[in-house]
Amino acid sequence: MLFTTENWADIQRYYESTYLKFREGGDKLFYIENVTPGKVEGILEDKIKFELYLDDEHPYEVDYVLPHKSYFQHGEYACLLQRTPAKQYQRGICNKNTKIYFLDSNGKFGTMDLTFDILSSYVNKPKVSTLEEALTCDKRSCVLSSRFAVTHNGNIFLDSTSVAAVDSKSRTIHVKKKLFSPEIKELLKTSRMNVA
Amino acid sequence: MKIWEVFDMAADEMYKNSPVFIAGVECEIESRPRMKAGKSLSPYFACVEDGSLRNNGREFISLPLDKETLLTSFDHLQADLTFDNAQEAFSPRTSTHVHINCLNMELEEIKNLLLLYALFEDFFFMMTENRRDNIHCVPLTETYLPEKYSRPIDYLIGNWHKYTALNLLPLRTQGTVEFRHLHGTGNSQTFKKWVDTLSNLWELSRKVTLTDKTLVDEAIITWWKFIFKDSPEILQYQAVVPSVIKNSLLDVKLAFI
Repeated sequence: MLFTTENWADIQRYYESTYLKFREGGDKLFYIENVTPGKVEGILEDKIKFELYLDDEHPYEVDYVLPHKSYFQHGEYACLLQRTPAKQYQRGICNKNTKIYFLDSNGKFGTMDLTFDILSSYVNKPKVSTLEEALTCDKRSCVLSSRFAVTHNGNIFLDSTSVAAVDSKSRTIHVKKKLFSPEIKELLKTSRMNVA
Repeated sequence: MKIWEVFDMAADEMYKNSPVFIAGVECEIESRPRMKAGKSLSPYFACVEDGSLRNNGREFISLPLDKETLLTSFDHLQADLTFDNAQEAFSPRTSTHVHINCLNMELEEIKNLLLLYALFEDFFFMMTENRRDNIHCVPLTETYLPEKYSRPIDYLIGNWHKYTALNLLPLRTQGTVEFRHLHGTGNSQTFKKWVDTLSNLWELSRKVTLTDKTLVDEAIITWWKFIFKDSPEILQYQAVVPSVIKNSLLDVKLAFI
């Protein structure tokens, strides 16, 4: 969508109080605080405020689609981002259309508010961990793939469903839901543990 | 139990016991759509205002019709309409929602329909233009809903959300499932392919039962070919079906835990 003076009311409706990216800004995230007929005010990732004057000859263009469901690593937690269907008009990311949950070491999930830090972790999506890395590092939970994560004590989740558990002593992964054996074997094919 | 019995609906016998596919359509159109001189709106359609549309947009809602009547009346409607600007009539704000009659379906068949749809959701979106990121047509796989698939279907119907691409909520009020994927269009061929595909899905849902035992590679390809048999542009993707449905297969397996 082009940010022109003619579109200011739509920009306000669709993007005020949301995070977005501009085509000209690459992967840089912007938070839109306030939209008026002549300008858009907001905050950049590094907390710097910005004002963007609507220009009909050289308009900025929003180049952002809502994110796909995926696990991503944010600090010591594996976090799961999901879209929430809702009666709302925002097209940028906001708490109404996107939810993020963190996976704690005890296998419980908690919700997180959207912030630049968290969304930057999602956008940058650092590499996933191997099972051995996940079990020996000091993180509470680690991402194994876009759909799978593991807690520090070896509880393996598909989204938020526990599907397998690691027995470190016998170096065996016990698949609780046998239907997922093919996916878990594929996921852990580089692991030296046995899948039972 | 059939849907009309589950929700105690006093619908016409024709819809409750019909052995054939019946569907209705909601066509959103902008740029002041109106009948051409000398033409009148078909009795199969009603024209209503829609606040979400611009430029004097209107919504044309059909009665529930058998497939041939639906396709013919859609063609006539589109041929008889005129606009302020035909190029703007089907803007990205517009969509074409299709409701399929499920009054005559058993609860188990509705579950089959949901899971078959979920398995091939990406291919349904491939038949439409830029709808995957539409906030009023959210793909099931992007949401929390797959983790609810193991619940009884009547629970799912009661805890669904309207703005998902496949909307189960109208089952309680109209006895229909709504498909919100299709972009606004006046193109007869596009509409026919879409309705044919939904008809195939409806038919297959009544023939097969999805379980953890039947969810095997050979069956999945057979089902896929049946549903998309009228869409050659989709059938050309047969070689990549396993990789395209990788995520969706996980979603559907969640129904059997």
